[in-house]
Amino acid sequence: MRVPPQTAFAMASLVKNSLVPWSEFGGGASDGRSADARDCHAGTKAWRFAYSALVQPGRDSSNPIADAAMDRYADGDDLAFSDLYDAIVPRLLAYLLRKVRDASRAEDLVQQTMLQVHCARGRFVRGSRVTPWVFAIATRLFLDIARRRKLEVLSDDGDTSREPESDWPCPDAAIETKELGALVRAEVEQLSAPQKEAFELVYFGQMNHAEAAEHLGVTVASVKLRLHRANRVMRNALGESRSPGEAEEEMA
Amino acid sequence: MSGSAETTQRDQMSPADLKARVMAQVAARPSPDRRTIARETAVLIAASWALAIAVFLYAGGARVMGRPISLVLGTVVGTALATAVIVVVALFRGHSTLSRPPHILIPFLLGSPVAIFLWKISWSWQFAGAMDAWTTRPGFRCLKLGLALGVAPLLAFVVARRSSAPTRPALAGFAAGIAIGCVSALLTDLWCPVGYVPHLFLGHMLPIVILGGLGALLGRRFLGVDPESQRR
Repeated sequence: MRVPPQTAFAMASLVKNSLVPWSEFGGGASDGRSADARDCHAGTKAWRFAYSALVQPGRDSSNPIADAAMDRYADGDDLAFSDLYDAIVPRLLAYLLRKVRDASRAEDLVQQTMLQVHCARGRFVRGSRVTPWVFAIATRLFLDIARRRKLEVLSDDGDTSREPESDWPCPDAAIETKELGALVRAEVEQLSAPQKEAFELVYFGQMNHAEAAEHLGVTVASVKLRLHRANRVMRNALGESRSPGEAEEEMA
Repeated sequence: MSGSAETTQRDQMSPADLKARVMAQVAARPSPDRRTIARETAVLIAASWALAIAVFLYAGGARVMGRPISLVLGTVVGTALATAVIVVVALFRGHSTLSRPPHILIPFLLGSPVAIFLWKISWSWQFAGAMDAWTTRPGFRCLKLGLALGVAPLLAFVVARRSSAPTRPALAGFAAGIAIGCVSALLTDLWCPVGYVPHLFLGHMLPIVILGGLGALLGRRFLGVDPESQRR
């Protein structure tokens, strides 16, 4: 039987996509095997599911300095807290400023989050990523405080005129004075909640896809899909010639 | 936390001021490190399972009661395998401090009790009389035993993991309840000779569901991040 080239190509893509690189299993690239050999031994999606269920993927971290500092701090090295703070708080504050639109409230949330991290340091799992954990605590505190204080959230009133005020070196500091920043913010608010969440974590929280997936409790593929859809919406809004990533660079 | 009230009336702090404030708060409140938590957890878990085993032995321990030994062993080995998997998935977090995501947990949480039940049925099916009705044993004693075996370990888990699940605390508690319920079902299988299906539903499976529900309630209340705890 003769297989048309398009069908053969589609089948090859399907097979290739069903294989998972060994590095995604936490095997790392230092196992001395070639990429082909790793692919051959990678297994199927079922194996990936079983493996991730039992072991959960290891570090693919965007912030290894914070991870290392947190590990030291959890082991009882009190001086490591300062390193952890320096490595994670600028990102956290930028992310929270996006959410609360008020510098003093964002700083309050940072304080509370870091205090929770301090109180729960003994329960930090060795070798895990600290960023999704810290952001999860911050998000939970934000939601709790928003509920209790009836905090004005940008997404509730759609008001894009109020700007976060901060001296911190965060993306918003550059956005404030530019029309493009206002446009991006307005468009982000138009995204669906799952897309917005993924977009904010990746672009404003500077998480990688694996960390965002861990924070959201979804697969990496789901995060990529949400970002793809969000990017498409943003691209349409910003103009075809400029992707959100390019807009980010321009704003920075 | 005193800082919350103060910051509503103040201007924005500089990064250095904010760091100094956080460092001062942290220094004023000692927290247990990993070794201390591990020791406390080990003591709690060991004590809770010792209590559960004591309850099990008080109830009579493992009882063959005329069952073929291959029936008992086959049932226990199959149940133990399914239980081991759900215990690893539900009680351990792997390489993440956050609990496992729903798309991983839920299939295991639903699948493990079903697998245990189907294994029990399929293995008992091969032995004549193993699934006969016992009208005098509807399953309430097994229900009580299953709950009595699982409550202490579940409480110990909640105490050991308190305030450690910022995302989906109810699901984390539910998972713990189901996993501990599966362990108690394993012990109940060792104790109870009845393989009648309605009895299994009431006496062996219902405790898993009840412990799961109890775990969800406790998890929602105690496993999540509690901002109030900072003020205490």
